[in-house]
Amino acid sequence: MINDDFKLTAGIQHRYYKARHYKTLEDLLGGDFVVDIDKYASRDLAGEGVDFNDIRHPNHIVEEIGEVFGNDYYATVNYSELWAQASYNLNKFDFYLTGNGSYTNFWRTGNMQNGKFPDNSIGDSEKLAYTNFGVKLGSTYKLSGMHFLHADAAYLTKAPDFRNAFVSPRTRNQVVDGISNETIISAQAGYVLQSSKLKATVDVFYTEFKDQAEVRSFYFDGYNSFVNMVMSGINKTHQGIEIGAEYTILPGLSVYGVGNLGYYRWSSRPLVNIYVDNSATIEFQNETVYADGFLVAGTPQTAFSTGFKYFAPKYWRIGASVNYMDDRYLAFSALTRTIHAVKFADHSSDEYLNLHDQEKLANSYTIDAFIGKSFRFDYKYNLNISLNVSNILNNTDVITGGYEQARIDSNFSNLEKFPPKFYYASGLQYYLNVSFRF
Amino acid sequence: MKMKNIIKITIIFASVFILLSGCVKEKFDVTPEYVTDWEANTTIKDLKELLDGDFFKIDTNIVIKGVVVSNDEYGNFYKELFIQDETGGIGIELDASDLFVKYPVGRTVYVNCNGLYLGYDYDVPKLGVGSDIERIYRAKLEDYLDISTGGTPIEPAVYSLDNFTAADSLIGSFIKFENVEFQSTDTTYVYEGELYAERTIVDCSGNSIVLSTSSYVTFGEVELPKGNGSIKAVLSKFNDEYQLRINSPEDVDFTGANCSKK
Repeated sequence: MINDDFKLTAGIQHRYYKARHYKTLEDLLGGDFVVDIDKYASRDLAGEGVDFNDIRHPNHIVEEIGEVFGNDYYATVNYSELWAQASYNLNKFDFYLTGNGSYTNFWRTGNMQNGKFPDNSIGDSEKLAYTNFGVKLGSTYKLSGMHFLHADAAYLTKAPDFRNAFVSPRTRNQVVDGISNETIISAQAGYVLQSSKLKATVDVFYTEFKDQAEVRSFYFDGYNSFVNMVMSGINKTHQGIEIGAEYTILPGLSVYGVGNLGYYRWSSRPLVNIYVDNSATIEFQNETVYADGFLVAGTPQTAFSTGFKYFAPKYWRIGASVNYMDDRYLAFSALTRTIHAVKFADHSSDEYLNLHDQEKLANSYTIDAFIGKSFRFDYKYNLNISLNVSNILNNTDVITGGYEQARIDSNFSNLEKFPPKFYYASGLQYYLNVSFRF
Repeated sequence: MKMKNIIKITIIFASVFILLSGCVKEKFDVTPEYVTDWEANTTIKDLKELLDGDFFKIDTNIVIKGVVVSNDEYGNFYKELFIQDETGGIGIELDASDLFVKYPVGRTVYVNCNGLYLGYDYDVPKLGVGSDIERIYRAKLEDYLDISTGGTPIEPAVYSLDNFTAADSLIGSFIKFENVEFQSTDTTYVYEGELYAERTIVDCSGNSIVLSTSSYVTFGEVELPKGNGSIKAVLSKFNDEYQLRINSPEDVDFTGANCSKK
């Protein structure tokens, strides 16, 4: 702190993460033992020991419950960060600026020497290192004591995740080609109203994520093998508007409404490479995914909620809300948006034409409510009981999400063979919470 | 705060919301259709005319392009594919079944002939591997065969059984005869014990051609239609005799009154 108007804070942090990933024997299902081999490798690959999951222990007999077998590795991640924030407060304006710089490095350490990758599975992998920085600045303009306008902008870069940097961390140290930092650019502006009875905000936002990567693993019928599909160069754009308002009708009783109208979409054509799990073969090299304009799944892009809360005398509280969700989309399969994966499909079929579209899931609404009471004893103990009930109407035919399977027909032709999967809402749910504070 | 102000603010919020939501137009990327980068440089007729003898190995850059006319879904074609362009048709021997999945009737197929042999399977010109015109290995298939999407099934040219001779240039092509019928109809396409079933097709003047059907077809037990009409089939030749091979009974449209009733 420098003076009342100008403040400067700074900090430093370091995080160290080390996790062991391995498989243990849980139940032999009536058998006496299991041999620690990779059956797919026995079938597909030739060579002495190629199917041993650890060639240092040929034909390892696994019989003890809890015994480690199959795969075993460490993930180690180091993260160091320096950051600083400066803020300057004036009569009508507040400003702030924050900046940070960070250094991330991580690597895999194999604890088994895999028969398929004897030279690239045990010990430390290449140590991947990334330098990143971020800047964020913003300003608030005080129209009056009740009305505020604000604007913020940010630019930052982010190191890739460990799990997206290795092709198949279970078996080997192979690093994904061309893995790089992700960039995030973001801006938002809004208005805030704060009076004794009404609080309201409206915000518009725009965020761009650039150069994201992801790894998906699935069974590929065309190669009779498990594969790891690495997708890189994913850009996404999230834009939207958020509103919120709360009005106090009487002391303790308020009504509120919040809403979000979003347009979250993929905004690039990523590239995929498919690495066959049991060999180093790459299929689908740098194949373009025609994903531009497809919508981000997993979240409703339009959502509204309105309700009331009442904090009554004697520590009673009660409330209810109606929630509406819309513009929820089925997660599309990147693979079927490449030229080669649908090469032999009937291009006049509905299934093929549907690839140029994205299934929108039905809108839905739920009603939730809560009730609670607190008791105080001796001015120091506090007993709290609350009951929350969600989805009171027991709406179980609501599809909350879903995805198109990555698995495709071995002939690259039959698009109906592996249909999409859907998630349904669980019905009425309630939980009772009793707590005692002393 | 007064009620009037609340209403005012609500209206402003709502209009901003509606305005912004109107700006959003969803437009999804379209995956382009697959297009081969091979270019056809020879017609099927020109390729067949290079055959001077029983067989020869193609060792130059010859690429042909044709539309699939045979369908192995019902078993009358097995591990062979017939394609046809404006100049004629040709067979290809392939070590793969269920070809109709990847190479259905109407699909445009390119054949990179360099390295293949062209020869006769009985009297039918075919591409294959080695001097015996054997099947192209499954793993090598895409070295010799590629596709482009699009394409429509060939509309067969109509011929008459009257004076249907010296038609060798039509072997491997999908053709059509009109006003014809089965000579004897109290039977099925194939009956038990036959390896290749031969059924005679005639016009009302008594000119005839043989319909040859494999015993592996799924429609063997279907009764021969008793009427008169049109038949579409791939033209074949066996022991100096022309034969027809249908893809399925749908190619036989004998629903009109037959010769005895005309």
